[in-house]
Amino acid sequence: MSWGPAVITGRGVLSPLGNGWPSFAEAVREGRTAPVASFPSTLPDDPVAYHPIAEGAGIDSHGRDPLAAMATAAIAQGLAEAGIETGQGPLDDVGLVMNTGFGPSQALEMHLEQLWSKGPLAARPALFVGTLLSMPAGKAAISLGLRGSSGVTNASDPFQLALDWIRAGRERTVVAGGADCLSAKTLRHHRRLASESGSERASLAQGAAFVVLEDAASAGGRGAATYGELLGCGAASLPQRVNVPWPTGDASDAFARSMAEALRDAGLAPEAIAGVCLAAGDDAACADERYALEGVFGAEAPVTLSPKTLFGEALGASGALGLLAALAWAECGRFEAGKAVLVNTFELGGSISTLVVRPTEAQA
Amino acid sequence: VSNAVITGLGIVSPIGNGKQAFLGGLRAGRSGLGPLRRLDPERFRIGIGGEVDDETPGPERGAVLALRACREALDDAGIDPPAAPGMALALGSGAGEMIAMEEALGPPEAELPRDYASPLQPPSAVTSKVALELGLRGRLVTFVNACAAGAQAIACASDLVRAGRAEVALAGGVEILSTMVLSGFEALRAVSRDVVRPFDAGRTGIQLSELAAFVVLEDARRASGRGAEPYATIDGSGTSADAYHVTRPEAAGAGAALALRRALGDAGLEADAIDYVNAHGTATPQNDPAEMAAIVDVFGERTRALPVSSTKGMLGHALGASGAAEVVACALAMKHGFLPPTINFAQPIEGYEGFDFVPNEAREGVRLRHVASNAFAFGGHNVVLMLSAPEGGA
Repeated sequence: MSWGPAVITGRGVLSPLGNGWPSFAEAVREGRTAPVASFPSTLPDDPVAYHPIAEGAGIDSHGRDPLAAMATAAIAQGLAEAGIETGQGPLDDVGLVMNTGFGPSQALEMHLEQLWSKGPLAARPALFVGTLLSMPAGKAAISLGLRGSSGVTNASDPFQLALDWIRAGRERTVVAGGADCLSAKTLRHHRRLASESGSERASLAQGAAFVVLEDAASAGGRGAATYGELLGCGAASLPQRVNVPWPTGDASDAFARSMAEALRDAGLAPEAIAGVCLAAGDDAACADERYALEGVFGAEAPVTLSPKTLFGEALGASGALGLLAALAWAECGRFEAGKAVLVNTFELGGSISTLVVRPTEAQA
Repeated sequence: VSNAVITGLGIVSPIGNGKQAFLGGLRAGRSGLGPLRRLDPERFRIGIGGEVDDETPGPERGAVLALRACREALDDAGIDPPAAPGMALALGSGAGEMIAMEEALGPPEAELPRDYASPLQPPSAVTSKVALELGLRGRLVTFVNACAAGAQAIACASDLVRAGRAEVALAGGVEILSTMVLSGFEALRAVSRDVVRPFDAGRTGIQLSELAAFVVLEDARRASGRGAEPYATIDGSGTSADAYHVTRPEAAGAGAALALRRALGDAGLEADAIDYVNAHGTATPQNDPAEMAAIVDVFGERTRALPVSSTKGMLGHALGASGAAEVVACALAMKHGFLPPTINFAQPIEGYEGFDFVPNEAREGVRLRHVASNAFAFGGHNVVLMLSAPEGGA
């Protein structure tokens, strides 16, 4: 393995703050918060709140299969910005790693409701196929002709896999990120669990966010613009039975181990870190993460910012949205130029990960 | 870069629970498929599948089966999880605790169950339950690449070990039978009404099954240092996407061939070095010819003499767990010197007359130095693993 850096050459995003990098970045820089809406449901007198993706994406985000369209649109944006042309035949050397929490949950909900009411003989093949968690990534690969290394993760870090593929020389280019679209029943279950936990949690959000990661030499060779370097990854866990996107126990040790591994992987000392994008979207989880920061950084803690306070909890897209938020904040000088930033993520079930990204200085 | 060696195996399957029973089933060419017992066969068009002999009820079944396999693999390796605190866990599953999801998302909104501690359980819920029970605090990764998920979990875990991100990793897959999965594949007309006949001219499709299969992967130096005897080394892996169709493979097998070539390259092996291909071999009209086209594309004329077999006539198709079970089968085959058979074989698939599909009976007394294991999935996700015998092995 070469263990060289991977650079970011493209960014694609559909989010409650805006669709496309310019809209998203502007909203993050200005500190805007995402609008709240009620998810369409069969119980209009008992609405469930969430953050929808911004209007104008041309996607029915409450339709039968919005997740594939959301992921495909965000991936296509990233590839276009990276100057990688699609639609001209298969791209054997462009890989894809997509993370998701509940996958195509609207299709799954429709399918399971039909089985519940009409029985197994009523199963419809097209609807069934659309419920598979891997299908949005498969459809995106088909639509864009991506034939390189392929991975679909569930509530896990997609960036470590992508980074190691590039470091090992298996791929020159990997699109990595995540997406979730939510459904009425998913939201109801989470509202109840949040209520039972006795505290206000970040509202769930729709989102699809991807970056194009590229071997630095390859990107340099073709003269691609770069927006940052992914220097390293770390991970740890606080396994829990309750499958919610917040810790149900003391997560400080796991956050500390994740950040420490990421720094080792990047070959950086804590002094090289200008800021941390927190995984936490609420005070209780935030306390654990801040305690972990004290352990890693001592009294001289870097700047901390919480992306989820802007756009909510986007489940499988959260890590990628956090990474993009870090790049946006770097552009407006929220972090010391030339230094790196940590991006923490807490996934459903207790998987914790940390990315080390150094925003490109010219953009900072 | 270090080597990742397999030092422990664990499996619960329709042909037996535990590696010894599984090994016996493979060598005997025994089928574990038949009329469903735990799900009512009368509710389905066909109602045949492969079930694990375990009475754990629905919502926890995936985690229980996975834990049984994980514990056996750890015992087999002689590793106590507290002694390896950074142990990673990579798990593959297409549907996870789908019975729990059916109960959580099936009823109308107004009738949603109110008494579930954890109502929504995608595959990552199985990963976290296994990690919680075993006391793991390292990296958790869940793959959901449909039928290639378990193989990708093992590929990922071997990479974590090779890259030094983990000294020890548990990796594998689990799948349980559910109404959602059975009815979906029946609706696709993909299920055989009698038996599963991989690579046979009369093949009529898959039969679904459930199983859990896990391996312990370990840094070779660590394993050697504690005197462990590896089954095999995971020397490399290759993945690709077909970018072709959501359920059909491309007839020429271009995506699968790409994954095979990448796996060979990652392992530093020439195609001539491969002694056996454990095929994905689903017995659908579409998969088997596309897979053979890919194999011929990579191995050329030598394919005629290259043993290629599929265990799915015995095990059924356990979707996200199938690739992991096939790695366990390969590791046992390498250690004990035999080739698992392709059962229910009568007439070779059109265009591949004279090829060696290891028909109907296990072939004993063979030396396997390098083996390829294929796993392909809906959505066009392909994973190939390369296993090598440990130095001085069988």
